[in-house]
Amino acid sequence: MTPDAGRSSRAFRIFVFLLILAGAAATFYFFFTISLITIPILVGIVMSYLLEPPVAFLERRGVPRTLGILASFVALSIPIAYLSIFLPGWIAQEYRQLIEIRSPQAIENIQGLLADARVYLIAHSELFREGGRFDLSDLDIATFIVNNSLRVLQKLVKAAPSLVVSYVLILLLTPVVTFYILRDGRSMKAAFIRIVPNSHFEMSLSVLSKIDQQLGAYIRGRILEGAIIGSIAYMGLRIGGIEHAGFMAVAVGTTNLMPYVGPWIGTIFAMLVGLIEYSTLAPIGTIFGVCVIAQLLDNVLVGPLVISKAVDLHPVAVLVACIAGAKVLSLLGLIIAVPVVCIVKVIVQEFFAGLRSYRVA
Amino acid sequence: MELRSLWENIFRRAAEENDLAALLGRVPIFEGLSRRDLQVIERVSHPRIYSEGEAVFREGQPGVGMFVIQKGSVRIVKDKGGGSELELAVLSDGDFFGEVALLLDAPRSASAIAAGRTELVGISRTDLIAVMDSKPSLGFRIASALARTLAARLQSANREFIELQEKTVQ
Repeated sequence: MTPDAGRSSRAFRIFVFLLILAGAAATFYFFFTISLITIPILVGIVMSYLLEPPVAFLERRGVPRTLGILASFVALSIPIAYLSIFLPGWIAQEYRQLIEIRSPQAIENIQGLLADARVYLIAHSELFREGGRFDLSDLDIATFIVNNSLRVLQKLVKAAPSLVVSYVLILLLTPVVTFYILRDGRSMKAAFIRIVPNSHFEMSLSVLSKIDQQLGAYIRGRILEGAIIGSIAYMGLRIGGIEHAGFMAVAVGTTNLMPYVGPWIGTIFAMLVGLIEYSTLAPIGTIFGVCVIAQLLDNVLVGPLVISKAVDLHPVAVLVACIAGAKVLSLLGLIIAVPVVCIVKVIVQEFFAGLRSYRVA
Repeated sequence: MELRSLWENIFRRAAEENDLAALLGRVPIFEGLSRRDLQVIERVSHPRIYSEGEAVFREGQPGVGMFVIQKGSVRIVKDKGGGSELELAVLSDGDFFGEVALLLDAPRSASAIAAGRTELVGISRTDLIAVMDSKPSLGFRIASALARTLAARLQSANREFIELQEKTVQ
């Protein structure tokens, strides 16, 4: 290669790199500002990875792919239909039990606890007396709690219509996105490969297949792990005779999607539900014990078996991802932030490994 | 050079990819497959256009899959060090190369360089394995054809080795 050709090739590579960088930045901006589109795409990708094994299974037995996808959809719609009939009643029952029946008593207990603490603080420190730095003498705890609860409730009521619209749109869009990813995934990959320069052709094929493999294993592994941990927690809580075991187990299994912090959020949530239900320490201790055992089993047995080490994240990265996720997509963002960062990590990791082995960097 | 082939790869028309299935049917690995099966292979194949002197792959790089020459020719060369190279073969329309990568995750043993404007069809190992996995009977036919092709190569290499030994003895 002549020096001129070498220079122009280098300039071209820099141009392509900058183009990719600009494209990635624009994509991130687009996705994070229009979360209504992002969520069905992300959920569609996750669903397509989950449905790929049954679709491939049917395809191996001679069922055409499109028919296999539709059959998987029908099979999946049965538990979804069952849940959509069963869930609202269950949630209403749990709500009535926890909020309407148990909450007044729980709030009274907590109020009593806080009032005792206030008396203790005023008696023991100048800081909390009248004229002190944290004057608590005029504080009416009951009014304080009611006012703050009302503010949270008002916020939720105001946000409800837009939340309902979002969820209906997500519910409508997700199956469509999932169907097309499953049916046309290979053509989408071929279309992407077509725009790749010849010098990166083999590398792109290799990197894409590795990303596909790792992501599939990660997504299926995480969801399987959540389901196993949720089931372990459910069994433990039922054995311990705890009420609302299903409700707590769903929370523990779902928050388990976040490594490090997730299991603790699930544990704290379950303990709060226990506090409202029982207002005594013994059952809360049982809940804590069951959640810790579930976490231990996860760390020692389930996690190492189903999750690849390659997608491990540093605890600081997990924390930053959770904060950013919560800021962008609130609760849903908090739950999906770490899996999304892991997906990006796998993509970047494989891309640079590919560049190194093909010596095109 | 690279830029021109990039645009050609993006904007080539479907008509230019004339009957890829027929071309694949002439490759020994896919010989005897039905038109329908060939169309399945066609869906996972990637048509590419290379300019004169452009590398299809280089010696030492990880091998990902095989290539079939649709139109044009490709030089298979081995680096001898110090900037010189040994030309092992010149392949043309309908020939295929890099098929060892369909079986082994090993580095390329030689480089493949386009001699003039060349149209190729690339098929990756993972895509082909996915097809073979999703359609077991098709997979069996491809695997046995691949084994036959490699056995024929081994036989011819053995023959050449014996001839070479005989010449050395004389």
